[in-house]
Amino acid sequence: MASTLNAPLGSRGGHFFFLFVLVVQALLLSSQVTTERGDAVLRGLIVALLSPFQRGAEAVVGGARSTWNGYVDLRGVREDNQRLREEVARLEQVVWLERDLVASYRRLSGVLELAERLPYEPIVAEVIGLDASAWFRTITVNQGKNRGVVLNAPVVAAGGLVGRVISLGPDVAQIQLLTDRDCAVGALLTRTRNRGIVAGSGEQSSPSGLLLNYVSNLQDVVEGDPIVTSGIDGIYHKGIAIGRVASVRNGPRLFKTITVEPAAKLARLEEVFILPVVGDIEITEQVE
Amino acid sequence: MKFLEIALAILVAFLVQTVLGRYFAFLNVYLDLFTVVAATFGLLRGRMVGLCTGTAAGLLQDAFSGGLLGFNGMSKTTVGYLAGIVGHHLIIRGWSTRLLFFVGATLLDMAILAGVGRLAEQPRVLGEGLTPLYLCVGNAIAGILLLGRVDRNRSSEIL
Repeated sequence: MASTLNAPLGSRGGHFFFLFVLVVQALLLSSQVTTERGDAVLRGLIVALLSPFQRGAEAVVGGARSTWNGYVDLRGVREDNQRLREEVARLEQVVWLERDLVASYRRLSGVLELAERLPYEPIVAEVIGLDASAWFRTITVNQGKNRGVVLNAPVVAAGGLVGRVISLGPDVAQIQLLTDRDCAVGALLTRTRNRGIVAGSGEQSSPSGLLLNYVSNLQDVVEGDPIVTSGIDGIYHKGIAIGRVASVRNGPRLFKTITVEPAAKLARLEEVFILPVVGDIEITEQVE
Repeated sequence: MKFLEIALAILVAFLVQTVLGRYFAFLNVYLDLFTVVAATFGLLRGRMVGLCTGTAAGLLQDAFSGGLLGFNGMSKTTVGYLAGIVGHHLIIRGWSTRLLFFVGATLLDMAILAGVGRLAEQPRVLGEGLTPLYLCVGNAIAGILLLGRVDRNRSSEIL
């Protein structure tokens, strides 16, 4: 081969050889256009001969590239870590917001359901202030005289009774909660129809803040008994859910000591309904 | 020695185009080292060496390009052979004449590829816009470097 290449072919001989090579390749080309057989054999041979070199070079280049990428990746890990931490913090905030939205939806669904069940037009008010004491006994809402709110109007929320209006401004009203020591509500145990008075406990004797007083030791009262307003106090409509008996035991004198779990979530009020003053309408019991 | 030198040059061209080209796509767009090798050895070693180098390089390129065998074979054979004739009649010295030489070799290669592709009813897309120009420039730079290298080897052989 080397001697052939070194031998000085004559000009004409060289041209003929060149043409010969071209013709051979043209024939090769045309044979591939019509049939694939020559292609497969020759191409397979060339590929088989040179593939090992290609694979070896690929391994070297691939290894070098992999090492380099590993180094570059390592350098980026710190930035990625910081970025991901920030992303996690942001997403946590988003999750909390979403949870808050879901809770609001559930709460408002309850409010809406109650509003639909009330037999008269309530005034919807939003809680804008709480008593500054540790146990909230009064709340302030954003509706007052201008919207027709009057003193002693009963106030309910999703779940049950909240309290009554004890002071008024043009656009605000203060509401005394059931748990206030000075609050008292005529109550009725719906299972036995026994009567009593629900009053705020001042938190010492009842963790829930409510007691059911003046129920005789001889009466049948069990935990879980529903309690509604009796209507005899002249303030609250009859049949509004107050809560359930949380615990009951015989007292030292004539009456039982009964603690009551309020039906309304008094510590977490956001919207309330101010009802008209007592008339002759009863509403459906709403004890859950 | 001459044969090994050519074989090594073709092998390097092959590896650069097929292996490095996977990671650096511009190598396959702006560089055709098979043309450069055929033209370089044709210019320095004569038309027969150019012919054989071009044939081997072209067929190798065809084998690994997925196209029909003979497309690049014919073009590189022609480039190598004509480079040998040019080298026999003209003195290609200095970077500017060498640049023109490789640009011409690249254009010839592209023209043959286009012509043969037309005849075989398999038209080749030789690049859009300025791509052929970049290919000419890339080949010229690679050719000048390779030519300088082979030229030095050749001088040391003579000495």
